[in-house]
Amino acid sequence: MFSKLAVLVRIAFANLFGSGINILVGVVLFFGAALLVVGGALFGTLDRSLSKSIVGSVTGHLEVYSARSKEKLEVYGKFDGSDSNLAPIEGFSELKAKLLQLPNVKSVVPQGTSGAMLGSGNTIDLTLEKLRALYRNQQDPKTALSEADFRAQADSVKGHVRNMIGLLAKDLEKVTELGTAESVDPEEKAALTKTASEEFWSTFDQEPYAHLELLENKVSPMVADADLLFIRYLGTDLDAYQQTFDRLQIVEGERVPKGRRGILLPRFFQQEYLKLKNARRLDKIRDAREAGRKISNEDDKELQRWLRENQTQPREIVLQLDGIQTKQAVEKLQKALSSQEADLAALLSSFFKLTDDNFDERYKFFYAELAPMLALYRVKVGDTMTLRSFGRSGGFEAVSVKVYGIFEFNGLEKSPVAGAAALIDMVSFRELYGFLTSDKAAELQALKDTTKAKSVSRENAEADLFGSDDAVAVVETKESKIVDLERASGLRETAAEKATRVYTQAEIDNGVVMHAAVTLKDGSPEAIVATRAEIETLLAAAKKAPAADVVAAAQKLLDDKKLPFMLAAAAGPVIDGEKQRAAGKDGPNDDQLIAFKEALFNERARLDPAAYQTLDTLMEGARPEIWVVSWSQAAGALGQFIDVFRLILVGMVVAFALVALIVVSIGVTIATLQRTATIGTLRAIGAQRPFVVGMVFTETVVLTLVFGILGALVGAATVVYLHATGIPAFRDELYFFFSGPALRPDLDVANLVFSVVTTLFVSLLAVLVPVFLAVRVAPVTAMQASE
Amino acid sequence: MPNNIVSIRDVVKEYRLDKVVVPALRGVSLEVERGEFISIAGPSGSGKTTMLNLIGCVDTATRGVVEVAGQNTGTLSERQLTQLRLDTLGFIFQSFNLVAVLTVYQNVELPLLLQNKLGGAERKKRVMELLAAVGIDTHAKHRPSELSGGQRQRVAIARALVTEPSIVLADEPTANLDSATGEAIIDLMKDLNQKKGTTFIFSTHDHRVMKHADSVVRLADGKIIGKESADAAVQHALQSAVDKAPAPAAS
Repeated sequence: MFSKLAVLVRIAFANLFGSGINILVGVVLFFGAALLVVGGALFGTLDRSLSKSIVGSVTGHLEVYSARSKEKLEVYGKFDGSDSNLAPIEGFSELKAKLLQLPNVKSVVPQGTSGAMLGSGNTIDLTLEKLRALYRNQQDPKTALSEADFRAQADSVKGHVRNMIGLLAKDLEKVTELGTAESVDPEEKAALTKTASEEFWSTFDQEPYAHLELLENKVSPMVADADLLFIRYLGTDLDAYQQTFDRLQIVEGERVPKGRRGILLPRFFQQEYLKLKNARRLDKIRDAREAGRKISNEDDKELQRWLRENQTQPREIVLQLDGIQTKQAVEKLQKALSSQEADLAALLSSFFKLTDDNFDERYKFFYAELAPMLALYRVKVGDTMTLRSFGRSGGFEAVSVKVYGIFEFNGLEKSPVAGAAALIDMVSFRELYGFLTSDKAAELQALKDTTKAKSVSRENAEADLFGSDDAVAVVETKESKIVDLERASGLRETAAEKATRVYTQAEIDNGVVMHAAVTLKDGSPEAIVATRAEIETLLAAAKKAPAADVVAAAQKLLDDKKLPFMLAAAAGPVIDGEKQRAAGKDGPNDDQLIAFKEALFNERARLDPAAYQTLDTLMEGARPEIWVVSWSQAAGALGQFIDVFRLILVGMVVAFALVALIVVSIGVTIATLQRTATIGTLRAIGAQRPFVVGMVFTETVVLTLVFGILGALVGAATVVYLHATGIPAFRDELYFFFSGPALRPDLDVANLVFSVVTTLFVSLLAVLVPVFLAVRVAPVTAMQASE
Repeated sequence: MPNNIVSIRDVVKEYRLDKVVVPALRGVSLEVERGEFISIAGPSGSGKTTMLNLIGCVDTATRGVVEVAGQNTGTLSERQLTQLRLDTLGFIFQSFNLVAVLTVYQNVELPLLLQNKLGGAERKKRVMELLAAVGIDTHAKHRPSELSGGQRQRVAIARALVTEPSIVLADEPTANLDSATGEAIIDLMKDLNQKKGTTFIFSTHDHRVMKHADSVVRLADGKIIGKESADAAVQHALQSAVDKAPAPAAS
């Protein structure tokens, strides 16, 4: 046996480099194995990196949310940018306590995602506020400046305002030239004419506040540099969040103190949307140059656009500087540029004519000389900003919160995805979302007490309102905790009280929570699956026993083939699961139920009402109160990238398998046909057919192992090299996928084994045809052979 | 033990080419005794190779009986025929048919490995003895491509004898060799025949080779036209050559 194997291996090795065909087949196997190792490592690491980014920044390992929700949870928002329509989790603190009993659950962090508008204020507003403060302070002996200092500062700020008015007047002239007379608002024109006049400014000190009012009401709205920014935020228990997601680091300012209201802004958002645009563009040009891009490259459209915009849009800087600062800036720029130009805008345009040679020097100059005079960010740490959003009840909510700090996630500094959402305290989130917070509940109670209002239910409203002689005020109550609190405005705590109040853990936990991140002690994929099942079982305990008639009716619908295909496919496991549950075993799992709910929702229009009612009742009876989903499901479309990576990997393996199957099959067939004489001779001198089969197989195995292992090793070396050097995230978006500035693929022994085994399997499959041909070679062939 | 190692009785072998039946042997009978050194002679197409194929169990007769070492080859399965070839027969091919990727030693050792009867040491001893006997032991590690035609045929002879078969079949063993080498190879075969008592059956149409045989079976058109002594056969062959030679041109 072994001696035969020895001769087979000997012949196989001897034949290894004996023919060009073998080498060709070997090369294909070599590259295939290398590709599988490198591809496997790349996509495997991408998979892990993306999961690390998602798990480590928002979702934790699992997410829980109300099973009454109309839609699936997508923490990053839906594809169209809107938020999932979720029902709030009722009794979060009880849920949290229950989940924390499970041995692998580390923490449960309440969350809610939404978006709000953020008005950043415009430059003239800020300048007028500065002027108003000067006059106000001057009236108070404690804060009053000397007359000379006050006059110098007031004149400088006034000069700044006049400068802005001059720019607006020029804009208006341009509009007049380009458009028709109707395109100019006469009121705007009159306001500009008046505020630009010498008379206006010479009488300013006589009635400073009246003059300021005119400027604030009529001129300020004409300045268009105020952006209405959209900001996504994650409402959460900030303290728990900061402890759980330790990749979060405060890069400026501080953490929100425990129990306080406040907001943390992502650094990416701060840089991208709150920073002075000229400065931001300079940063981007610097980053581009560091990545090897050249200013001289005119084909680099993006870089050229930043350069062009900086040259043509210096206004934001010009508007920010008052008279004194403008003079200083002009002097500095004249000196730096060796120019006699007196106009700041023109000087800035020249300054922003950047080349690869002058960039570093000008970048340094900008931050050293000009930036100290400018407000680089529209919102600073310590500011209080007002967020506005439409609450769930349809009312308009506005919440002012203090910006405590700027954060970023370690390794995800440049990621737009990780940096898209601000972190806000749970109480402010509830207010913005339109939910009844404990503050508001107390305010409402106080209002009811003072007005002696009586609560009436919706059902009895008519009787209570009109059917009784009691002349008492009434306040409507709702079964839902969602209350449109706009009607209660004016009853709230003052902003100052809210800002300083410390909320208890019970107040944070006891309100409405939209979803919650569950982090695990063991976050391995197997542990996630196991813990998810444990949570499902735990939460399923509260379900009522399945209604046998509903299950039977649903089964009948299925048996009678009355359900559309997708719905039938989704309903089957749920019906079976409910039968199991009725028998005291585990019922349908959350994935099955969520799939069924989705299918039922999608097919509802095609179902007759009775059938829909049956299935809806089945669903309602089968579902738990809370869904528990994996992080990838909770991440929605972003989480599906994981599936895409896996699909690409599978595609790669299949493509390789097909190519290898064809090449190996053809190659070994040709090699077999070329050796017909040898096979005939072996048969003639006494080799049985199994020996010939063994010979072809052994040759293929040796060929595959030699080239496959070599390829796998070269692939492994490539992975080691890529791990050491890292594949840089050449676009900011890739930071999130790479979970850092570079992707460092990890070498996995299982990956190596997989590549060799796959190569071998495909090769063995491919030699079936040549083996068939080889065993048909008759021994008499040897007699006809010629060398 | 019967003295006849090969017994052929009324054997017909026909080949089918599309719808045409081509007879290769037309009812031949032949008895070969153990230890004979016998030549099958005849012109091309006379049926020499077909007869060797049938004796060598690489082909079966259309009709008639072929017995090799007492076994009727027509009744044996493909597997049994292969085993019979391995244990009883040795082959020497016109084109040597050595496995190009194996060394001389490995080529000779191959049938022993297929037999799987001897241990490593015994195998080595057997192979080296045979290589010495055929005078090629100094080239044991060479590949066939590094040898001359005569040397390759010596290797083939060693391979054919290494299992100590009862019969060695050689199909035109000198056809690809020059006359001196051819004669040396035949001398070697004869020597081994005498020393080991192995039956040698070889086909040839070369009278210089024929003369070494104990007896010569002459074939023509698929029929045996006589079994005679080597000298007689050589005379026949020479006469036949003269008959076929063109007449001298008239002066």
